[in-house]
Amino acid sequence: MKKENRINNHSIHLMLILLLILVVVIMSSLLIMLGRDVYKKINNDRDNNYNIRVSTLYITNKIRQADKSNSIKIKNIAGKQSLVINEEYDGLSYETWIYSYNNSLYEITVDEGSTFELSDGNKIMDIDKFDIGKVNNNLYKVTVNNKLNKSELLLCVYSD
Amino acid sequence: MKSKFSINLEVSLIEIIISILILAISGAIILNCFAMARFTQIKSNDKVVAGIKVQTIIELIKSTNKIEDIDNILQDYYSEKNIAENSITLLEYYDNNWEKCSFENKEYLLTVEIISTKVIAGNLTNIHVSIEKVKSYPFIKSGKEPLYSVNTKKFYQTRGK
Repeated sequence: MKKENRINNHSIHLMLILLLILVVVIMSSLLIMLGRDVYKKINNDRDNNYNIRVSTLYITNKIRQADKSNSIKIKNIAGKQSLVINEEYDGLSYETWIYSYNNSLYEITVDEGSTFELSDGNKIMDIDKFDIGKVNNNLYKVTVNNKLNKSELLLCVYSD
Repeated sequence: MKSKFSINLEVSLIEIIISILILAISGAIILNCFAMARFTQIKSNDKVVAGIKVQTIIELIKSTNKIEDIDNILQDYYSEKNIAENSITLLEYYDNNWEKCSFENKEYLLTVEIISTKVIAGNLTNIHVSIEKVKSYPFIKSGKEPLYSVNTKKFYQTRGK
């Protein structure tokens, strides 16, 4: 009878230990999964932030560099507004087009007036939408969208 | 007399309870770290948005030629205005998603302070634009510093053009 009781006690102890080990395993797994989710979110946010900030600043810098009379134009390409910057090198006129294509921001420099395929340009970075408009004579509105964020920046230029 | 098996079991049980305690303590510390990392990233996201909003206000003010135009050009960017002698303070409230909202639902507060000083040939304006989070971020020490702030000046010439 005593022996039977001891065996029962042992099996309860064993069960309890196994249960505690199970708790440790479950808690550890939950902690790891939570950590994975947190860092996944942080990485996604960081990527989105980077794309939004860098693309907005890239366009802003391009406009500021070309802040001369009749240098900055907004033209329509494939139904979307794009930024066109006129430059002159060695007496020849060139156009730099910045446009959105295939969920990315593209740039291409071509001879003035020449045609090109949208896929010919260099991919700058991933964005969902790029739009540019003129608010008034010296104010441009740059809009960049990606999956999570939307950035809308007004930009003042000195030239008309 | 205890069997070898029973002695081993008792030791294992205490060991496991201690290891669970250690796991619980380290888990709490790690969870705190995760929360800190997450909220630091949220703050960083907010700084990007706040920076773009502040820059937009500065660019708008920069585009004006007369001091009287400031109020007009910024009219879509504020919902409250306080006028004092030689100074204007404009306020705008944003919700969690950075959309304009009412005073009650505000999460972020945009403040534009314009102080004008008359000088010989015109007006020198001190411009201070800042965005602050109304409630501080949990788990991270934010202090009372605004999310983003810019101090600048603009001179509006009225004579000798």
